[in-house]
Amino acid sequence: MTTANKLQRILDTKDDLKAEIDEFLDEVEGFPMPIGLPFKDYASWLAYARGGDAPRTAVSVLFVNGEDGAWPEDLAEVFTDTAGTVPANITQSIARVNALGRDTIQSNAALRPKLGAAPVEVRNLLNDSDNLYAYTTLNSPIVTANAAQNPFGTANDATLFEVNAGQTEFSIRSIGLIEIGQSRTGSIYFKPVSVANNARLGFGNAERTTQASVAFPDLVPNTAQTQGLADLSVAAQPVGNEGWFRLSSAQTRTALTTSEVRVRLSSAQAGDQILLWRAQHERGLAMTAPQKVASSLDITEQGFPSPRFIRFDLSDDVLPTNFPNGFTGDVMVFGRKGSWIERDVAIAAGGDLNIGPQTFTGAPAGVLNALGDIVGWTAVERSLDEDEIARAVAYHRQKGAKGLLAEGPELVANGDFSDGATGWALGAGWTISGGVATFNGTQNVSILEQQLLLSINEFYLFRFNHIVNLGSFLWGFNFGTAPFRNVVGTASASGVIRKTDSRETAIRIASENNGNIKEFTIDNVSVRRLIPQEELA
Amino acid sequence: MNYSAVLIIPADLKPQADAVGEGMGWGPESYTIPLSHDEGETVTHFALRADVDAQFIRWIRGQDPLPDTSAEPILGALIADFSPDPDDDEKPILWGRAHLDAVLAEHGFVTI
Repeated sequence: MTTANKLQRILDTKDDLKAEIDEFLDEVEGFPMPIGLPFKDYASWLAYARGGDAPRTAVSVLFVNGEDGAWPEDLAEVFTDTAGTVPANITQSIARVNALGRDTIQSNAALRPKLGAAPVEVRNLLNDSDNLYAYTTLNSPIVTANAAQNPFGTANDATLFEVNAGQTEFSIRSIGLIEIGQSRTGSIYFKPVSVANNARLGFGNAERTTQASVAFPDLVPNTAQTQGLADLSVAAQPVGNEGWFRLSSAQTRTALTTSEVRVRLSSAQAGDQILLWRAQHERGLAMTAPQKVASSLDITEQGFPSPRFIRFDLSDDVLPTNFPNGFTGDVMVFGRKGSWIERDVAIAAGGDLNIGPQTFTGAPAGVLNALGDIVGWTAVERSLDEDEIARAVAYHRQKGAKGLLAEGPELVANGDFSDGATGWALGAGWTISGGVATFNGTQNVSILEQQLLLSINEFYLFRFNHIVNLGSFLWGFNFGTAPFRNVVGTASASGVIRKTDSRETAIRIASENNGNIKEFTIDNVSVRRLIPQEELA
Repeated sequence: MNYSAVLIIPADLKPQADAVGEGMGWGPESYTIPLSHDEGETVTHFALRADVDAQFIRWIRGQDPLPDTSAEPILGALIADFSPDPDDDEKPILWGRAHLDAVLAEHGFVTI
């Protein structure tokens, strides 16, 4: 090969490489290389950019310079004893969580949360999908638990139901609920052992006869359309071992009441027998792969991991992490309904970072209510940049967390009182002047109120500046009729609450002097909906 | 089987109640939820919520003799609620905060 040819080959190769590099950079644009990846591990970078797993280093790198803090990686080391010798099983109480950094220990057995596990996406809404023998029944069928193989060959796993003497049908109650306007799909596996011709197996609502069923022996579908339903459908398809089928029925509830769903074998004969296995009740009008729900703490699906989580009772459960030298830095808590970052959390030497009962150290009151079950946390003794936060969130999404909760638009009108009392209703003792609202303490209980339509079951972050507080003033902020003192206390000026009562149309700041004259001045009242990042995309 | 327990004691009995809890192996301070009765301003009671077994319920309800007689003075003032209730099938099954809130509402308490 001549020198010229060699040079030309190098140039050709260079062009190829340049094209490859350009293509690569296009793909990973917006996905900075995960810090901490082994040098030149471009394959992991590309996989991450293509939607693959965020590497472990997305979080571990936060501590690469020896920062103090804590990260209980994947909740992999969780124990029922404070010494950390007995690993906790799913559903058990947690005494200790080992972490990269500082471990968490709850020495009081009455204050311990529980360990759970569930796929990232939980679709089966039932609390118990398999123990059908434990459900309440109508017309007293003879029920034999663990009577036969399930559709996929596991021995002693299906439940046998037999129509009792003198009966022509039976029902299994509460295989889900359908709320007004909601679409739901129910499904259950069945295998007829001995069922009379023209008997029907189907799904129905509490107040009506079976609405969607298949008739034996040929499993002919029948939908008896009745008032209060839409999108009604039913189907049975063979699945698993010989003789097994999966029955599904979808419907939209248009009636004005919530309905209980039942599974019903009707037009049968006493002595008819049918095996039933794994029920599912899910949102939408499509049946999906079955998920086993042993309890709300123990959910599995074949082919998918079930990342661990911690369930606090939101009453008194708390997990403390001690910092002997104190701590100042950012704390992130990742939950299955949303995640939260609290900047510049300060803990004195020897103090604890507490997660629970309803918030974590430094965060607004009640925030754990909006985060749901907790899949992990990071405490890092420094300020995190936006890339670091995004990577940590991406990592914990793989473990079942939702993204950071973002604040929606301001919902309070004239919250800074710059337009006087416009928009506000003032109870006795309240005045608005000079851009602030003041309660003079002459009344026992008095309410400052603004009409505001908020969505039921959504979480809202409220704040106000607490300018004057003479005395141990009890005040609150509530959608209900009584002061919401339990969230706010007497010092905090922010909190997270959920609207639970559809009848309420106002936000309220309630003051109370309880017989003592106390003054109270506030400003900058704010209410914003907390929205998971996923909903903003 | 585990049951959700909500226990409420008058504030002046908190030291004794915590001591009983510690004797059971819970820890030095179990009653950590301050309450006020009838929406008052001061702390009048303390509560705890925990998971317990059937034997615990039998002790509290006097169906079995207490293993620790020092708990007897507290029992007279104790408000205890269990879910599910082994002696009442009709009561709704609640856990965690929902259980605590239901018991507080039933007995006229608010958290402080």
